Formats: sequence, C-alpha cells, structure tokens
Amino acid sequence: MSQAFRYVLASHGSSGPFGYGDALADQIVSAISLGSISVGERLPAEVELAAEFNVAVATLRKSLALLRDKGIVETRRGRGGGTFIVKVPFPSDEQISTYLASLSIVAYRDYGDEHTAVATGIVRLACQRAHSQAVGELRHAAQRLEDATTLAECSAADSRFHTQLGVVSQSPRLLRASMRLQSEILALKWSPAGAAAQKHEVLADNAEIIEAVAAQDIDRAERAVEANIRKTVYSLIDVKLTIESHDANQATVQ
Amino acid sequence: MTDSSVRGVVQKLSAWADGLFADLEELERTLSTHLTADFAGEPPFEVGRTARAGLGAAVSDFLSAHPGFDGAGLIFKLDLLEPSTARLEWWITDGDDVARRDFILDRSSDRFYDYEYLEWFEGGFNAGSRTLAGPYIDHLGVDDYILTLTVPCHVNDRRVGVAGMDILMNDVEAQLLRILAPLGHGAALLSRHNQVLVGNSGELSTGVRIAVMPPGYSRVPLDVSGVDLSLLHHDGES
Repeated sequence: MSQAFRYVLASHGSSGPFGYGDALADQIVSAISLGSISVGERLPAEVELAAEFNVAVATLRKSLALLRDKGIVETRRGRGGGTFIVKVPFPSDEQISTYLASLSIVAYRDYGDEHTAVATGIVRLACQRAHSQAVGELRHAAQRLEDATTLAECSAADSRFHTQLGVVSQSPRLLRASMRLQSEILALKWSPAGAAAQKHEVLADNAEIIEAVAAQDIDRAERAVEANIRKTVYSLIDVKLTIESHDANQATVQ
Repeated sequence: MTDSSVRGVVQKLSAWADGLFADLEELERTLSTHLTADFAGEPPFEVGRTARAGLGAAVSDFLSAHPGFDGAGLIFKLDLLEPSTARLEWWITDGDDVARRDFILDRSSDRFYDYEYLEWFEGGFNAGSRTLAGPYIDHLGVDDYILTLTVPCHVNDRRVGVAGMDILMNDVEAQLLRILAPLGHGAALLSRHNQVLVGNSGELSTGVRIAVMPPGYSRVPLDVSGVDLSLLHHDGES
C-alpha cells in the first residue's frame, strides 16, 4: 500500500504551511489537503504510517492526538473503527504552485484519463438507474454549492455533488474510485493558484449533468462530464507551464 | 412455469416484506414507550439517560432476535431535538455484539448526514407510511449498500420521526434468491421505482432499473399493505 501519502512534498520542511507547530502533523495535513487521502477515509494503521513517515510510533501518536484536537481526524472504535479524516484543510496558493510544478504533463493527462473513464462510467449508470427520487436527491446535493462561500466550502460541496452521482450509479466500487479521484483534484480545481474554478460555472456544469441524468440522456451526460474534467486538467497543465516558463526566465535573468 | 408457482412466490415475497414491517411496527411501539416522559410537552426534546438505556436494550434484543438485520433504531425529525444533544438512536450489529452508531448532525459540517430528504425519511415521516427504500449506498450513514425499512414513530400522539431497520443487500439477496428459485431464471423483486432489489439473472441484478417492461415478462404486484412492490417474472412456455 505504498500509494498512501504519495504526494508528501519534501520541500515543506519543518515549518509546514499549516503551522500546527508539529512538523509531522503539518506533513500529514499537507498530504490530506493535496488529496492523497480523502475525507472519510481511514488512515493506515499506526505502525504502517509511522514507517511511511520514518518516525517512531510514539511520535506519530502525539501528532495524531494534535490533529484530533484540531478536528482534522477522529478515532472510532468497534466495527469499521480506526482513525478517519474528517476535515480537509484547504491548501495555500504556495503549496498548490509547488505541487503543480512538481507534476509532469503526463501525470495530469493520465489523471484526466482515469477520472474521465470512471466519471463517464458513473454518469452512464446514473442515467440508466436514477429514478425520480434519486434525481431529487441529486438536485438536493447540488444545492449545497449554491450556499457555499469559502473555497473550502465550494470544494467540499462540489465533492458532495459528485459523490451523490456515485451514489445514484448504485456502484459502491465506482463510488470509492470517484471519491479517491475527486480528492486528488478538488483543491487544485478550486484554488486560485490552480484551475481557479468559478462557482457560477461549476453550478452550470453540475446543472447540465443533472438535466442529462433526469432526461436519461447518456451521450449528453457523458459529454458534460468529460468536458468538465478536460477543462480542469487543461487549465492545470497551463498553470504548470506558466510556472515553468516563469522559473526559466528567472534563471536566465540570474 | 405455472400460474400457481407464480402465486406461491408472490405469496412468499409478500409474507417476507409484511413480516419485516410487522416486526418493525412492534419495535416502534416498544421504543416509543421509552420516550413518553422525555417527549412530554413541547419541543425541543432531549432523550435522557434512562430512556436511552431502555432504547439501547430494546434494539439490542431486536437485533439479536433477527440475525439478518444490520441495524435498527429511531431517527428523529432533526428540528424537534435540542440541537446541543441531538443524535440518532441507532444501533448496528458488530460481530456478536450490538454497538451504537454516531452520525454527524452538524448541518455546517462537510460530512453532515443529510438524511431528511432521503427516501426512507421522506416516506416514513413526511408521507407517514410504511416505506421500503433501496437498494442504495448509505453515504455518510452506515456507508454500506443496503435496504432500509421505515415506519412513522409516534410519541404521545405526535409524529417525531421514524423507526427503521437496515438489511445489507448481500443478506437481502441471500434471503430472496431462495424465494425466487421456483420460478427459474429471469425473476426479480422490484421496488416502487421498478428497480431490482434482487433478481436471479445477470440482466436483473440488484440496482438495475427496468425502464421498459421486457417482452415476454409479466409484472405482478405483491400483497403488502402500504408498500408498492412487484414481482417480475419470465412468462415461460405455459
């Protein structure tokens, strides 16, 4: 399971941008905010996690306790118990820029391919399986974005909408895949330093998906979903290239 | 297949659903008696410690007596509860034990369990009728693929929420496949949305919505008071 925390950036150093005064806690929060683990997911076992970060289990426990106090994670006992992510802190512009620059264009394209495959699969099933009540539930989920104000709220509300699409598809496996993919992209999509999504545009995009699902129009729904993902991914590639050319210019000046 | 085998399956499916609702209605009567004192007067209400212990013991007995059920309890209309202490009285099976399950009821939370618009609450509370909802993925609830049955819950003649129970779709499947077996390949129990609860062929697998009645198939309504379910079956050569 070496996939967990694949986005931890070495450059965060000891004084992480979240400033919890605990380097390890900052590092875990960075990983969450950049989507390597999503809200609602269970953290790996303490022993595994400590090995991942190359720290002692006792050190890890201390950092987890801090995050529990801050309401980032919670620990549940019993069936399906463990330590869960309950809140995603929204990353800073600087974090987003560092992260975007670190990814290759191939990585973006491949992300877009996987997300498109999963999301069009979901929306196809949603068109076939959504009954009137389910469409109503989808509209209700979309409503949350109308009421969202901060970027973190917009990102969370957008996530709720796409999660509801997964629910409507009736496929627990596709829903899980979708939640993983969303958690990778949402902060990048909404951050002004990333794709800088505009609320009114996303509302219109989501409304188009709902209407297509309500009309059971698979082609229209797939086109809408594909166009949305493409828009975000292309925009992120542009941002990455802009950062690179800026860095190249800086180097020439020096 | 013969008409009598179809009738036999319809009868068994009806008895299955009716039996579940009868058990649930009995649970509702038991649970509501524990709340008469705490829910006297006007809202907001608070479930006190004594009542909660009574509810927990009653649900625990109920779940122990019905090994196929995943969870059960009471779900209230949220604004009838005192916000600072509001919670759902829900218990789930956990191996041989029964454990209370917590849900996030803070409306401002990203993970708020926004249940009042879901079919099982709308039907059980707003419409005030026996409701069978699903199959559905209970995201932020028990996070499983389930069937939920609800009936309105009344305390002191006031409707306060619903009594409900969950069955995992895997378990529903195991129970219903046996009942459908006499009809052979191509039979399914459909929800009121014509969505397959359980069917015994690939085309009729759980969650598939039958938008157009396939040729060569018939649909027979079940005889369950207050619930719109039907049996889809292949006409065969009879």
